[in-house]
Amino acid sequence: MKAVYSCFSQMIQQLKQDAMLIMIVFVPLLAGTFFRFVIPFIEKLITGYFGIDAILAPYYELVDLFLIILTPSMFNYVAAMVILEEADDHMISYLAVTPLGKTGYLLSRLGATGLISFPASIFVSALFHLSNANVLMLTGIALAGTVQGVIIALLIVTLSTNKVEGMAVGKITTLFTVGVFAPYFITGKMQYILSILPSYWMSRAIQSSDYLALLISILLAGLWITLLSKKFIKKIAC
Amino acid sequence: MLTVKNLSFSYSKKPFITCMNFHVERGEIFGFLGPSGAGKTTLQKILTGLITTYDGSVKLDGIECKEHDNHFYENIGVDFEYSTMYEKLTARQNLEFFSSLYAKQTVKIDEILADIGLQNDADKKVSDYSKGMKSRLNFLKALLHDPNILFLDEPTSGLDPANSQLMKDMILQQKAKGKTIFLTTHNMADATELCDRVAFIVNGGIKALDSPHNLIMRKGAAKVLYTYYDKHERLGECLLSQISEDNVLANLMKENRILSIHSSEPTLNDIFIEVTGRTLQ
Ligand SMILES: Nc1ncnc2c1ncn2[C@@H]1O[C@H](COP(=O)(O)OP(=O)(O)OP(=O)(O)O)[C@@H](O)[C@H]1O
Ligand SMILES: [Mg+2]
Repeated sequence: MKAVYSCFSQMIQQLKQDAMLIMIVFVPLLAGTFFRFVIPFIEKLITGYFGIDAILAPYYELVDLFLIILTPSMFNYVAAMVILEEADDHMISYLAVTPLGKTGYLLSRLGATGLISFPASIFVSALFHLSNANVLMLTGIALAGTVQGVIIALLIVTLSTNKVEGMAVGKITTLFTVGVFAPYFITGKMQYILSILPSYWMSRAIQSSDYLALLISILLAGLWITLLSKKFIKKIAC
Repeated sequence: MLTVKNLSFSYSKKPFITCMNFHVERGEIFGFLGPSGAGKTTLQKILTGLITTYDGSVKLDGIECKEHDNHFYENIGVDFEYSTMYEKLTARQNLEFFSSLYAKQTVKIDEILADIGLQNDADKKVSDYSKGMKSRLNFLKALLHDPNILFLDEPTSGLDPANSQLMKDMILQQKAKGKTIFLTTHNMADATELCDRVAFIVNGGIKALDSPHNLIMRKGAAKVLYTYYDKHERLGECLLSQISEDNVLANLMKENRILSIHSSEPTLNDIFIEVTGRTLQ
């Protein structure tokens, strides 16, 4: 555990010298500010213009969900970039032959990032949420979002071999969150195609205050993490 | 200390390391010699527990390498063939960080930096280090936790003669402390100087394994070559063991007419070429 902590503080030191990556961490705050103040303003404008009660308001939960997912995704994107750089420099192979080990390394990079992004995600949603979903649900969604954020990082690092590829894969991994739209926009059985994505279940959870869906989302994400981290550990073996 | 039994491994479907067997005693310096691509680094990755998908048995200090836990590394120091340092940090920051990964008491950073002549560059960023300085620093990193077993992948490559000697002296100092050391090298002279035993590795297999002395003796006889003037410059040659029977040489000596004379012992390099049919570089 001492080694994991040490390696985590080392990452923070490393990040302090990388302004680009630090900026990314503030993206959720910018997005949150935009959502919180601009969207209700637009809603007021267009409902007044069309004379309808609500146009965007039914989707406020979706906006909240998006914001809650965004925070851990950004944090994990940063962690993934650090991992890719360290893989490039053979640092991971070296750390794997110290008491830190391969699993310890992953914990120090992704586990620790999760520990920070969870409260950050709650903080962002507490500041900027639009819907009237209750605090317990929002916290639950933040937890599910944190777990799914780890998947984003693992996808980036297993599917790419360097930072440039990583940035491209990073964009593709946003597809992993399209599951959030299914319960709102896809009717009928078709939506189940996206049910392999934890984001689908998060969306169902917030849509109908369904805590079982929340649990499914977390378990499903856990399964993804197990499979992907096995793949990644195999990849860093040599 | 190390027992390898029926080891097989390949990165692909094609067989690479097949059915390898050898044993290394505690306190030995054991060298892996072989041309580029022979599998030296691969073998080190297996021995250090990085590659765990091998068949057969590899027991290091009683532990099967693929089943190791992380405590395994409290006692193993590894120096890769390339530099593995955080380039943006200083040498001292790097060494402090790597020290902090061990539960065990680690050595004093300033002392070992001085041992290898880097005391004045301790607070320089590693990215500003020269190649040879990086090699030395990476070697130090393997010694931080005073491990009993060392794996050094080409420790002397890229070093100037003085630093190469410094490094070799440090390796011998470690041996004197009773450590078991595995090293790979392309340099036959270094191997002869350092290793108690060497294994010649070609295409994933061991082609010969013995002490450098025995390997050289196997090739046998040293020769004496001499030149002298007789109308024009001539070259004479005889076996060192039969030098008294060379009458030409005896007469030349009597008449002080030898222009040059030297004996040539076979080197590990000659043996390597003979055993493997290949040159090293
Ligand atoms: N990660 C890997 N994946 C697939 N093949 C690999 C991998 N690493 C090494 N190889 C292959 O295995 C063979 C042995 O490589 P290895 O690095 O062990 O050679 P080496 O003896 O250390 O050579 P050198 O003296 O150049 O360092 C080579 O053919 C190499 O291409
Ligand atoms: Mg090598």
